[in-house]
Amino acid sequence: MEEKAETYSYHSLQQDQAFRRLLRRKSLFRLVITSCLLVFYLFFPLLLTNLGELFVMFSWIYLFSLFIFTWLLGYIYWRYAKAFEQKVQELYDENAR
Amino acid sequence: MNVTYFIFFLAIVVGTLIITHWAAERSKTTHQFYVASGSLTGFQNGMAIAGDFISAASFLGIAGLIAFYGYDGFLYATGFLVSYIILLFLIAEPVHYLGKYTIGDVIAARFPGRTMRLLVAAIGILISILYLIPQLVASGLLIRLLLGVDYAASVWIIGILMTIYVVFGGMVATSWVQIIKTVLLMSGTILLVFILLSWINWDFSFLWDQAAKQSPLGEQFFHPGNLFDHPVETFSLTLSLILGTSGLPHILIRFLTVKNAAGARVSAMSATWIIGCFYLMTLVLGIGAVALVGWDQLVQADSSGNLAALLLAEVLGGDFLVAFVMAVAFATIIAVVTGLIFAATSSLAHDIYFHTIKKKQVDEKEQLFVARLTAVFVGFLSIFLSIGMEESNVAFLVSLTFSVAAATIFPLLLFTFYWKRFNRVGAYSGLLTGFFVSVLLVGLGPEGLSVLSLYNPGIVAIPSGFLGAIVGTLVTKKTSDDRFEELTVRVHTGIGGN
Repeated sequence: MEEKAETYSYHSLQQDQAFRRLLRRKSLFRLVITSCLLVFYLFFPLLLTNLGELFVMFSWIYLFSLFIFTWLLGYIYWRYAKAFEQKVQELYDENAR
Repeated sequence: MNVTYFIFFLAIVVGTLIITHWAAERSKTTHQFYVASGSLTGFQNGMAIAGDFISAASFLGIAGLIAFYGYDGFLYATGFLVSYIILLFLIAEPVHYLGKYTIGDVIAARFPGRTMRLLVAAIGILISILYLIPQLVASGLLIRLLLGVDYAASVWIIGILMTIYVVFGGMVATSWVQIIKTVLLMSGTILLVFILLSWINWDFSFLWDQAAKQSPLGEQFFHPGNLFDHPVETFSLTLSLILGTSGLPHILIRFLTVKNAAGARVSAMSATWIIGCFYLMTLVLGIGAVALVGWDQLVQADSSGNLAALLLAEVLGGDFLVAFVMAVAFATIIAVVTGLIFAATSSLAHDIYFHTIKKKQVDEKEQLFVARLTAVFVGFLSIFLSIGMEESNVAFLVSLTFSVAAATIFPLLLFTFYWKRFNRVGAYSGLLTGFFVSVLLVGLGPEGLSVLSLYNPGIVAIPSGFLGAIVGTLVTKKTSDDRFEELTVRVHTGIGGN
């Protein structure tokens, strides 16, 4: 796609409703995931103090879950972005025809 | 001087110099020098990012923090890891698509002009130098320990080595020094963990009980609140860590060394796997250090805890294992300082000399010559600054660097990529507000005049950087920005802009 990018005008894609829809969906996906992760990372520890005896166990679960979330979200985004690129490529090919 | 230590030290120096010689053959053009011609695979770049990111503070410092403070030491490490999700989701691909050699290039895609490039470059260089000083100071102390030479000579050794890598090998040598460091670091840490676990017959409950017994914190060792007992400080630090990575120039320019966006994504994703596995192992090492070495021994050797991993290695494997761990720490430091000096060099040579002073009227040969000369200048400047700061407490510079990066470069990149209304005034005001508020708070804080009790300025500086950008944008007249429409397509697909 990048090689073609050098010769292809972005205008066709920019005007394409399907492309705009894809972009909106991707932006929403990224916004939701990053916001949720930030809120979980920064504010979840504040809730832990109310757990009484389970406080220590959940504190460690929280820490290990950060590792799992980071790896899992990285993988999910990798898959998502790959699918996004394929869809854009299809739109691109249609426009270029 | 211990001969075993010296042999390990020599092996690393010779190995890295051979790489530099090999890389020098592949650094004949500016494209090769600055971004290794985009020739790295995603996984290679992920290893280089991990090598660039995991500093001596991580390798030696976090193991020590865990040994001293248990849970909270490990909490500190998670901030570094989670920050990569922000980097992967929001920053890595746009930087790859818009950048050529530097962050100045990325911003120039939306805000062309010399003043903007100059300001971005200046802040980027400051961030790199701020981060470089504590690394070099730590390296001086480590080499003094390793070879028995004095502090200034130690800093000269590391400083000259890092300068040679960058001057002769450019980004190719920088990348491969970082990749090899990652291999050494991971294999060294795995080895240490396995020796530790076999030493205790894989009896985790023994390790757990022994840690609680040895630590004066007792069972509290495994509870939160030993290090971070002030919620505002905790929040400030974690905010800086999680957002700061996305504003560090030496990490960001690594996304220019792969050939496509898929490579950039794989880079960030594989870096999270390596960094995550590494921090999980430091948890075992930190607990192992307090359990097997003992609290008193750790405090006696170094009250900051930085020698915890080395003391543990001594208990587990004697002199030979200590030499190996020291060699790993040495490789860790040179990889990080080389990445930092390279980032400062590329901004100074490409953004300031080539674009701002010479207005692009320089041929390829001269650009390359000036880039190499700049590396020598930055290298010597860092050496002199670090020698002058031997007696200073420079540890706070690490958190300050993350705070400044999160308050300046990160909001600038985020708004440049995703906010249509964002304009040049907003960019200037955001950068300047974030930077000056950070510096002011440090000046007034416990490391300065002690007027404020806040150690980490992130909680105020980061929102100030964002607010400065938003207010600067909103108070100026709304103009139609056709460039943003084009930029949006480029940021997501790489199409357009040529």
